[in-house]
Amino acid sequence: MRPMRPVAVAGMGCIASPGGDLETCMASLYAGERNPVTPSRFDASCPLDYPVFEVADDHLDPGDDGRVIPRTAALALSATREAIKDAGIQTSSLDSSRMGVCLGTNVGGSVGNELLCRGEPRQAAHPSPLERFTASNPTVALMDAFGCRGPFQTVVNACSAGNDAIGIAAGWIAGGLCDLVLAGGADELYQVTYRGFRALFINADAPCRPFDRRRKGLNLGEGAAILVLASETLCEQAGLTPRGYVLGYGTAADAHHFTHPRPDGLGQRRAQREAFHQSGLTAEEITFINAHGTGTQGNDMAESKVFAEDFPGTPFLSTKGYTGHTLGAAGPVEAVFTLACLERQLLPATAGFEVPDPELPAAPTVTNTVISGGTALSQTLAFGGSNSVLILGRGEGGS
Amino acid sequence: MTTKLKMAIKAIGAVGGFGCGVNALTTALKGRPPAPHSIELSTIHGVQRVQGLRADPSPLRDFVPVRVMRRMEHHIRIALLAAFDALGDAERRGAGDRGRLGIVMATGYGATCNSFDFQHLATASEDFSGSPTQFSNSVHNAAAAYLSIALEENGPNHTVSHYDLSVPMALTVAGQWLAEDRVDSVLVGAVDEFSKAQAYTWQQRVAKNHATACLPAIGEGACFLLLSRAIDNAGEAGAVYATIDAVGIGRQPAAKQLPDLPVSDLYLIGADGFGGRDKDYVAVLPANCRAGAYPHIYGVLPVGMAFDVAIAALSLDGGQTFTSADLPILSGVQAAASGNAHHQKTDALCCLKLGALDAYAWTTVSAAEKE
Repeated sequence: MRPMRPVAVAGMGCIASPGGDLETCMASLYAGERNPVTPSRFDASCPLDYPVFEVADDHLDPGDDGRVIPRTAALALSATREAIKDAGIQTSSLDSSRMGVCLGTNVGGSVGNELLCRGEPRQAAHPSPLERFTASNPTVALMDAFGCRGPFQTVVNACSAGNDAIGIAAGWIAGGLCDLVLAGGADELYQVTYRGFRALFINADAPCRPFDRRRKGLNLGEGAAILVLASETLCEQAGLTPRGYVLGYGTAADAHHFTHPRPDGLGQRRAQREAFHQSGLTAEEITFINAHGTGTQGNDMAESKVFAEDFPGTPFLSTKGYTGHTLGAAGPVEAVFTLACLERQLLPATAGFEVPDPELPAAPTVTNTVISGGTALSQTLAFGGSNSVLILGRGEGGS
Repeated sequence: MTTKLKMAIKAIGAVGGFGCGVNALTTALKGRPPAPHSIELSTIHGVQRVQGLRADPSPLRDFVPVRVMRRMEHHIRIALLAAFDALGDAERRGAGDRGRLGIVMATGYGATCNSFDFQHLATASEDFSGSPTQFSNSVHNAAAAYLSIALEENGPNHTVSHYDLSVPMALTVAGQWLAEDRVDSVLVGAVDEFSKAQAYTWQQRVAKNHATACLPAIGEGACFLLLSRAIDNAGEAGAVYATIDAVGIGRQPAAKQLPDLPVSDLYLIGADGFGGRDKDYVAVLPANCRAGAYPHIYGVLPVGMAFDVAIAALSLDGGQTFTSADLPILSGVQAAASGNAHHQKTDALCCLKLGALDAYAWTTVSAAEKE
């Protein structure tokens, strides 16, 4: 594994249940607020017995021209407008051929197809599979909105898609392909996913409790987060002050089971090892870990075992008690939370965690926790056994 | 955006309407293309008949226990069969040592067919949530995940779904992993199953135009390439089909020549007589070039470029070119015909796809360097 020079995060944006921008989300996390609700947008036949974390409609970007924007794309657009504003960049002044877009999503490219299958009137607006796909793909939406003509990619690695998108995008910057990449993920709440998790009996019928002895499963959520990754050259030319850095990225498969993480953490560890090799850091240099922390039995067991054995004493947290599991957006949402925590040197409590599980060898933050350090690890574990790890560093900018 | 890759194609696996394996693909290319089947399709306008090229995944039982196969949806079976076919091809060609392996899948439709079957079942009753296995299979990375489990490979595992540009994106991921020394080889695969939605659109177009002669059938299939760094295979030209030199991806709003399109002896184009951009190919190709299209072999499907790259590699490895489908748009260029590639100076080929929303991608494939 070759080492990678740090890739600057010039700006960040986030929209999720806690708020329509990153600042609001962080204030909500530190205040310990969470807002699980009964699903409000599924059709009448759908059982509504599990709470979800929805994004308030008034947080969504209405768009410029009055067109109806598919929700996943609208989430991505909202987060991107915030991230670009945060970076202080005029994208119109950049070489569009060196501006890329790399997004993770689960639902994005599928929703348009469902309209045809369900015989909804809107199918008439997008009559072919090709047109339906492009209409609902958030990557295409960002390319169009911000005039990006460089590399682009839609990653669909289930729950690790967003982390993988950031890792791939960092490679584009490090490899000299781009000056700027809009990297992250977006996913809306979708009843196919909701019903599917219900079928797997991994939805919790109450607000989720990651790592808690009484945990009963996960809550689904929706949202988007975008990181503006910038080359050293662009940072110098545009006078950008990075809010953080992508220092390393690792990805590995469990090769174990489709829906259960590997109990011995083999895939997790290999992904972490790759990320450390790329960053040149060691486990001892990690200030804290932002866990995947879904609140399912298998996930929390596998993660806590690895944390206890390989990162003894390192604080960790899960933020899914505030956002729900936002699937393709989970990695990016947690990456921007991680960088925001590094800026503030303060971790929020793990919402929902109160009673330690004697079966778990490590426990997360119980209260807001002061930290001291400049690097953190944020990881996602996915359906299909993908593990994706980012090592992130504190920048000079931000609050 | 051009990405220089220099990846050796060490093995090929292919499954489609033509059968399974390189030999079946080559036989079809040499003048025995598969005959489309007539398939019944339930639509909102009643039962319609469409032409389809279906793939038979049943040989997968030689690689995977039947009890495991039963839990897999059709497109996953197709993908796994093509992957095992590629690995078998690698063994036969003495390229079985793959080192640290990564897996990258490209899919245009993903698992959407299954997703909507699941959705329909789940909505049939308020109390029915659907089958957990069917839901698991409906996740877009299902094929790649099953493959990692079947091969017990812990390396990186990645799935790209960007409709008709998924394949070139997957190739760039493979190139990136190899360049980063994340892996020693990458199994890059592409899969799409017969799409009811695409078939419905096909049927509507046929009905509107009252003609089927120039429309290839809707296809399904999978194509895998085992790739490694070309430099690691220097001096082993006999074990390498060809080299992928570069991938270009971009957007070009006007139907004019693409600024970064490489000069090539032969262009394998992604025209299928179906897409809205077919007419643009002649405008973007250099004057007097030779071009071929092969949807009569693998059918109309978003990941067709994977088959085109395999066909290009077979052409270069075997020193022959293959007769193109007879598409009307090729009347504007010199259509590829069967022949000796060396007589036609074919040592570098370019696969070109004009995709949705003015996007395009090309992949250049050159002959493996001989000692």
